[in-house]
Amino acid sequence: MILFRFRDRRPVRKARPPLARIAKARTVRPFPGDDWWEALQRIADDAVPGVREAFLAAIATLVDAVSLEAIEAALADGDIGAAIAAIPWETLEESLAPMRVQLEEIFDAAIEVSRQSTLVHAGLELAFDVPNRYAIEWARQHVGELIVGVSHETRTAIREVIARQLETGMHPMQSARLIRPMIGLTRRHSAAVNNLRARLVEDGVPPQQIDRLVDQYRRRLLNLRAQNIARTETMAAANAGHRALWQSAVDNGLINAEEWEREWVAVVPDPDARTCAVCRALDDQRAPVGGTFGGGLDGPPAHPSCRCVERLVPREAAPGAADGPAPEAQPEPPAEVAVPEAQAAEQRAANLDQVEQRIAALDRENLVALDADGNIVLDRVGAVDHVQLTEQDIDQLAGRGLTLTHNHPTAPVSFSIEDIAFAMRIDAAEMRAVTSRWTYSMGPGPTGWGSIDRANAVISRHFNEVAAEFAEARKAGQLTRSVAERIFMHEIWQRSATELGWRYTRTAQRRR
Amino acid sequence: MPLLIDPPVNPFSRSEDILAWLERLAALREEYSDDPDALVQISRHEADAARWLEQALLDEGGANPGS
Repeated sequence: MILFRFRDRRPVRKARPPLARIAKARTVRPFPGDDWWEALQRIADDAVPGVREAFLAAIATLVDAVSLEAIEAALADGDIGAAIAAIPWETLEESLAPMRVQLEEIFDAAIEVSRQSTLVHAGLELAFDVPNRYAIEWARQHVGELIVGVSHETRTAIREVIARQLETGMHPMQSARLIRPMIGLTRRHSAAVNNLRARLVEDGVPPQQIDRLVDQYRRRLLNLRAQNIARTETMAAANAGHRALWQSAVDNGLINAEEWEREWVAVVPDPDARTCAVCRALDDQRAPVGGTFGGGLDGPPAHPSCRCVERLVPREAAPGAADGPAPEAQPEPPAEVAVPEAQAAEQRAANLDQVEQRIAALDRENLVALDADGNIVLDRVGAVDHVQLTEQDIDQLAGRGLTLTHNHPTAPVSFSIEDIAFAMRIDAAEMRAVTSRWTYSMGPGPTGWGSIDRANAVISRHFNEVAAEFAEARKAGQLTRSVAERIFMHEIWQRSATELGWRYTRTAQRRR
Repeated sequence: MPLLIDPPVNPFSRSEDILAWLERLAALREEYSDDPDALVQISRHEADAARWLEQALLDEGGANPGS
């Protein structure tokens, strides 16, 4: 059975992860005899659900405390500033108290990991207590910064969105109703929510359905942000605790800051080669105890959802770094690089979500291609069972590492052979299929999609094997026809992806 | 010009669904009659569907589609 019949016209992949760097990381790390960095990440990861829920609960409390009447009155006077001032941000500090406590606990737990890692790597036994006030002070200051950030984003979003709505002549009462749903969202997410609303209105979707879809989308974005914040803040707390031990040791004269320094550990074993360029640039960089890394960073995390850690190393052990990191050796300021990268990823996720929200409900296939920044570079509507593309489309899409998504209106089944063949042909970063029950995703492995001949052989073999196994199971009464029909392609892709080293997932559809 | 076809059937579909798919493929053949690439793809789907239909009819204990 020949599955892929097109000629291999894929362009040579231009941008590759620096494999030499990853290879080096694999040989250097993990550190012999311990898994301290995993322990540090685990402390953070275990706390993520709690921190996420604490954030969502705090936002819900704030939203409930907002007076719609006060905002409407302010907007009736055309005073957006007064409308923003009507949001009782002061309640957020109290509402976020549970998050603060959780961050303190992470901070304290990380100190113990730091003791162990310092003993392993630096041979230093730092058996003394770090004052508990360090954790309390750090968490209070950090949550305070979070509140400032969240309120600033919301204020900016309200100014942008509401000003535009008022300019279009929207009634103040209607504009006021748009404000509460924006609380807690980023500026970009707020814009995305309102763009979706505008698009649905344009498409003639009934108002009640619009409200439902928009609210689902908003909640999804808020959850996304809460998760992002939780992942970032928990790692920040873990790293801050990690650092606190060393700083205390210096403060107490137990170690000499001239003899020791901190090393940024960005590339821990990374089978998916997902470490971002910012963190790869920071890997192995050094900073004084109590000092900062390049770009003024105190230490990890360098950006939202960063997984980096750091360790204490003897200063003389750093070849060419005896005097600490020279200014010219510093990487580009990460704060400037990281934020756009993180925002681009966030924007891409938000735009992808918006697109999939829209196409999931369509009764015709819609293929959409997004670039790394989340810009839509192609949007094709086809028939119920196919989409037609031109050679010009393919030239336009090829070799750009795009994310492709489309809907399967007829059945909640996984990819067709042609879906994946097409993703290989244009060397896509990801192919997705949205159905009424599942969202499927397929992406290449760390070394790309590989050869079409090999894929053809592997997929053909699994196709035949799964068909035979399912037929046997059907005869034995272990599998119903409808289930076999529904999961047939999914099973083939699971097995093929595993063998070919591709990334394949199926996630339950929660939008509808 | 290439088509991205998502067949609504597979070897475990009911014969009536596969028959409907074959009819749909016939309509696509008409629609893309001046597109050689598309016709090659459609032919492949027709061959797959015909094989699955035969198996489905056997499984369902029905007659040969040609009879």
